[in-house]
Amino acid sequence: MENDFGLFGKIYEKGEIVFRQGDPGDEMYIIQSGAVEVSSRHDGHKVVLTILEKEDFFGEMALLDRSPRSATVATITRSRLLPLSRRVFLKKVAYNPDIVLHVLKALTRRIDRMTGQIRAMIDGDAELRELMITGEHTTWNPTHFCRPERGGDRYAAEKSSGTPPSGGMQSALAEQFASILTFVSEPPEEVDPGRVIFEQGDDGSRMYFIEQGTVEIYQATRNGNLCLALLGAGDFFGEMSLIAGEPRSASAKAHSSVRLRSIRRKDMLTGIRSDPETGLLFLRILIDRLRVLTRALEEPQRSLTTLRQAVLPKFKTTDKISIGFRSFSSCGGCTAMLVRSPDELGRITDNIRVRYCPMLMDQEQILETDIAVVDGAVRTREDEKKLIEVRRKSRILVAWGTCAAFGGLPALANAFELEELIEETYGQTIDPFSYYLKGKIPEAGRHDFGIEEHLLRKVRKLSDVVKVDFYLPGCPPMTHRLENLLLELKGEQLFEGNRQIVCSECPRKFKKAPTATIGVFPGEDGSESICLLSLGTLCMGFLTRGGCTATCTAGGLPCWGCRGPSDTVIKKISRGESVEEVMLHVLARRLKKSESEIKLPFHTLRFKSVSALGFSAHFIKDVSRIR
Amino acid sequence: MTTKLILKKATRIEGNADIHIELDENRLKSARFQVLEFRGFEKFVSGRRAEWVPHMISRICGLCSTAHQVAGVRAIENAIGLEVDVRTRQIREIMVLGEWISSHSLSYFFLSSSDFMGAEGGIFELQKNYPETFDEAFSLRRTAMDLVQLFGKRNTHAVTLAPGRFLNTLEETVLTEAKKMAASVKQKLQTIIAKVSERWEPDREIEFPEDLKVHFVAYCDSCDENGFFVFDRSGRLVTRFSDDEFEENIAEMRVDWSLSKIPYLQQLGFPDGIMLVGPLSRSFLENGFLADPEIRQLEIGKTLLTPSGVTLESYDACRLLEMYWAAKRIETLLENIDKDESPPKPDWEAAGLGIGALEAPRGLLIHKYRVNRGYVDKVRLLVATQFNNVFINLLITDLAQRHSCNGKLTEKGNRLIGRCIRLLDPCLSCATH
Repeated sequence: MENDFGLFGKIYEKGEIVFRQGDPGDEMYIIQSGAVEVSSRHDGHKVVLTILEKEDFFGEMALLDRSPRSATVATITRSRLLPLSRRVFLKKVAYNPDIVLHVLKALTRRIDRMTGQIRAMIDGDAELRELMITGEHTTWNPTHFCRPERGGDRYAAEKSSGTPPSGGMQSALAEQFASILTFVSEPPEEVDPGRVIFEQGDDGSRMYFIEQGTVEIYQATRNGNLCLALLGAGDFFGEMSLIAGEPRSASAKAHSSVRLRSIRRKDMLTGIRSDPETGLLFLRILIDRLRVLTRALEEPQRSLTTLRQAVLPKFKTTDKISIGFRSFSSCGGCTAMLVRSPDELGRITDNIRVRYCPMLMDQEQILETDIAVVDGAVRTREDEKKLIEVRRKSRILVAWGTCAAFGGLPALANAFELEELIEETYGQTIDPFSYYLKGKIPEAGRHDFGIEEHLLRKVRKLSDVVKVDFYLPGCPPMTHRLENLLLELKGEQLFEGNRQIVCSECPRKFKKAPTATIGVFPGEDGSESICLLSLGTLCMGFLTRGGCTATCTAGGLPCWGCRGPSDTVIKKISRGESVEEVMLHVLARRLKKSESEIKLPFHTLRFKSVSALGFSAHFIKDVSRIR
Repeated sequence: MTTKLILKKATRIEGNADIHIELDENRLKSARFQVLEFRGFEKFVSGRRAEWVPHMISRICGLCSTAHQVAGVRAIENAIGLEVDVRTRQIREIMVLGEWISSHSLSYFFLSSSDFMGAEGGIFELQKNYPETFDEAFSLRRTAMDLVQLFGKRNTHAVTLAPGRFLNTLEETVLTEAKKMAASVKQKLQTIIAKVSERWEPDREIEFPEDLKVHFVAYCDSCDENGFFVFDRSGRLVTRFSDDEFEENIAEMRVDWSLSKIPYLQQLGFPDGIMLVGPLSRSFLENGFLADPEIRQLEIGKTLLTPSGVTLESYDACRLLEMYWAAKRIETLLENIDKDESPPKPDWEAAGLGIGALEAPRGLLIHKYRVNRGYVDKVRLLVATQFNNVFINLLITDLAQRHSCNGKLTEKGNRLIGRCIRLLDPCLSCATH
């Protein structure tokens, strides 16, 4: 079947759709003649991303894995397309390695084009320029750039379709690199901090693999140096010129003391010839870079961190990973969970160096770490500033607990204006003695705290402000989830998500007999082994991600969804249904009642009690990031 | 003349706060302890279902969540006139006492210990350097948390509390298990106290500021009449007032540099009416831990009983003794646990004002709710650290004054300021909620 087309592709008539966004991807296509249009849909509108012509190709992700297509491709003239499955591709590469080089070169051209676009954009936007060049977010105003709904969706969709769950794949990548390094003849090279490794415009004949230390990749622009990425051990750079045989498009300098292995063009070609899989490895590198650039174009405010994570940072099990803990607006329960037993703490800090944790040690600064674990929501300007600093100084940022992941209880404040909250708390305390500590009597009716300047107008979850790599929701979160995540990042364990709902862990049994009354809290006759929902209590367990061992429902309290929506619910939300619709619909079905019958208690639950599923309508939709 | 500003973050405490000291060349201009958190629980908890409110409000603090829940449940019960059976009250007390132990052990062993053991890396370093000591401390905290978990089903933000009842039935096995845990906690504490007594010598580096009147306030719900007790420094009862009178007696004021409000005794005004709450205040209660004959016999107990024995550093000693007392009290409660009764039915049509006051690990905690037809529509909260906050400020001012020279804070001053804050074990999420 695969050979049917041979080298003569399949004919598509004008306007024929080759594949749709979301289709499973199994083949890439080379355009032998004609032209296609690549488009994606946002909010029901078609956006044409690019038009590709003869000799170009598309769907190259299919060579790497079978993730769903991220865009729709349709022909715009009568075209001849040559489909290539992974197997056929590898077979062809085996006796003609140049095909890989051809694809690689085409990709580098695309990357160049995009870098040019980004540069043009940066040159045209003074604010963004300032932000990216200095790396300091002094003038940073979240409302200016934030497009949480649309941007977030696209980002999530792209991530979930593109990057495979980290860990397994990434460590495989590192291993393959190690295999290339076996035929690299040159010894490791030590570079002192601050030394330039190569400069923009230099002749590029080799790429580098970082064994130790951090390397900064930057580009000179009209307005100063633009930091593109900070790479750490296990990362590589300089592959663009190596492949295309062109001058360096960016400069690299050692950020700390660095040990490098260099790979020459000759070595690369030998590698590809001896093992076609190596060619795919280089393909993956470029595709990852391309994806990062696309994202940078879509969401410039996040590009500082996304560029840095061109390829998800890898840790080596032998290295001592550094970690930092930081709390923002929270109850402190998340951090307190760390000091429960020496074994638990030991398992977390085993082979890990804790660099800062203000609650438990005297380090008040935020230092550079591999992993930063952040709990609490972002309530004050100070929180926001510090969070950005944490992001800038860490390779992986983990949202620890419900407040950090979804906003949690503090986010309930978003239903009110800031002035209302302040009035309620501080309004009644006008007091003649205030002057004693204050020095002056406050003007009547004015809250002269500086408090309005100190607080943000709305509470934000971490991902509203910065990019978050992993989410560990729970109130309080379970420490073994953090342990597992650390193992996963070290490559010792594969991702085990919680696809289950809370009910799957709940000891209570569903009872079929319908209940007459529906309430939001268990009634006095609450029996201990019967499902709270079938007793007429609105329990969120069936909508909520499991993994908490259902302690609340077992104890008698209905689930309020602190772990956030389950995969199924997220899928439904992604399809455009509102959280409220999904909840109401499933509830009605479970309780065997009509939606109008349960509307009132449901409303009470969501808006007059503690339902976490009402925290925010915009949940994280990237399931692979939630643990 | 140049003014120098020293701004640092308070570490090894719960929450975010800055220490803000302004020094002129040779004198102190100002010193403050700035609490920088605010969430606004009073507003967003109002208007919600009464049964859910205690569970929401427990998110004020992850270290004393049970105390907040019990206070909330009590406030609702008082507002709708619900009489709770003895057994439920006993269980609640056990849970709160269990939390005293877990919270005190966190403060004593994990937050303050670096002050007298010396380790920059805090608990992470100490655990590596003194594994045996910390295994003991950990197992103490772990057992206390497990004890809370046994009754609350979770060790933080328990789930079994509801107005008028306990959401879970208690099996005999649970009680046996709890007794075992209490006994083990008690025994561990005996060893620890014996060890600490050997090298117990208060260094008296931090004193009460001389020009300041301080009052110690504690709440007693097992005395003949519930109420607030106000003591002076020598432990003499100055005044007492009941639940209903608290709003006439305690006033709050605000300042422009901290988000924590400052309560004081209205009749004495400010600054005479500054209050301190917590273990030291509880030591003055007639049925507090220092009334226990066994504790009075202990070396540390004896020191506390002498007139000159009460210093600020007594806080650490009080925490140790109080943990021991709490373990004993839990044992007694478990021995005398009342029989199971069917819970009273709450009248959700009722409306009213209710106060729920109790002693949380860090001190006095007051919740005042207005409940209307099943909904809590107004909330007022007075939390332990709020009371101590103003005193921390004055203490820092005093220390900064004494330990600064040439426009700089001395090394010792720096250390003592950190130490005095931790002695009072502030919880800033609580202080501002």
